[in-house]
Amino acid sequence: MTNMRHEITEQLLVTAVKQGMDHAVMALDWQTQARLTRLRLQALELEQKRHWSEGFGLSSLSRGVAIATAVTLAATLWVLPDTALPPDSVAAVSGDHFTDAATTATEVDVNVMEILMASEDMDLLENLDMYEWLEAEYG
Amino acid sequence: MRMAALITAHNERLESDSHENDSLDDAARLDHFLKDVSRRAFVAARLATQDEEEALDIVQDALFKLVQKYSGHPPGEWGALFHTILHSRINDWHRRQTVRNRWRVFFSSKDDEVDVDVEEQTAQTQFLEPERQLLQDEMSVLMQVAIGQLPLRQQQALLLRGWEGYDIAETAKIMKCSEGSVKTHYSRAVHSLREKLGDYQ
Repeated sequence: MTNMRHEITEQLLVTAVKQGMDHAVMALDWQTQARLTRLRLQALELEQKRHWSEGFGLSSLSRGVAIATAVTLAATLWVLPDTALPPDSVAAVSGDHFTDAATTATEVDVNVMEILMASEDMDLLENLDMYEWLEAEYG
Repeated sequence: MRMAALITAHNERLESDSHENDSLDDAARLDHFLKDVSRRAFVAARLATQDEEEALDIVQDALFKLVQKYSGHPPGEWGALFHTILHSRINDWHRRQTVRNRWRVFFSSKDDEVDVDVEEQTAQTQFLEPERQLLQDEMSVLMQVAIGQLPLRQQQALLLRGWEGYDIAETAKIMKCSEGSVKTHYSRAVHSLREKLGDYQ
């Protein structure tokens, strides 16, 4: 009998808790509701961004790899045209014998690749012509 | 008979549309969930912190984390996941606050520490406006004050079990404690509330 009364009291209390808390939710002032709405919209924006990046299958790792690849490719395309073979040396290479010019051009290519692989400073690459000239003049 | 046919046709149309609008439905469902849960979470966090700004920060953290990490989970799991995040944030806040309070103790005089009973606190809350106060409003405020005075873990157990309707196992998972602890916290909370509100029942 006491147990039953105890349970009824507990049930009443829990019902009162529910009512009290629900009432508190209903009684939120409009400023608070507006701020909560803004938070909700920001959260939904985040969700949309996440959805898009998942749609493209881009995890943070793959995005990093993609950016690194793009930078490397851009740097390579920017540097390589300067070191391409001049037209006359191409003609020489197409012949039966390698000329000195062709040999020099090949060496330059090898140098460029070595520098790229060694991750040297880009200033060195930019001034490569000057270093070649210095080597030709005084080397 | 005609009504049944209409309902069947409506259901079929809904089902065919549902495949086309899966992502739209998910977004709408998430929106609906966040709308409902954010307000309840704010009230719970405000009770735990007794501070509206802190409560908003906690709710923001919980909403963002749920969306970033768990919105891909089935909607049925969102509630428990959200409350796990929310109560974890509230616990973190309390831990930080405890450390801050230790330092404050050195600088505050004991004269400031006045025991305020339920009635006095009720009079201080923004909800109570005597001229248009209804009985339900008063009861709600009393209830919130009384719940706000409970120790944090008892408060969490009571709200999760009594208000949110989670069972003991789910509550234990959310609170990251044993089922026995949940039972103890809940029982103590009910006992304490009964004592505080006894006169009003």
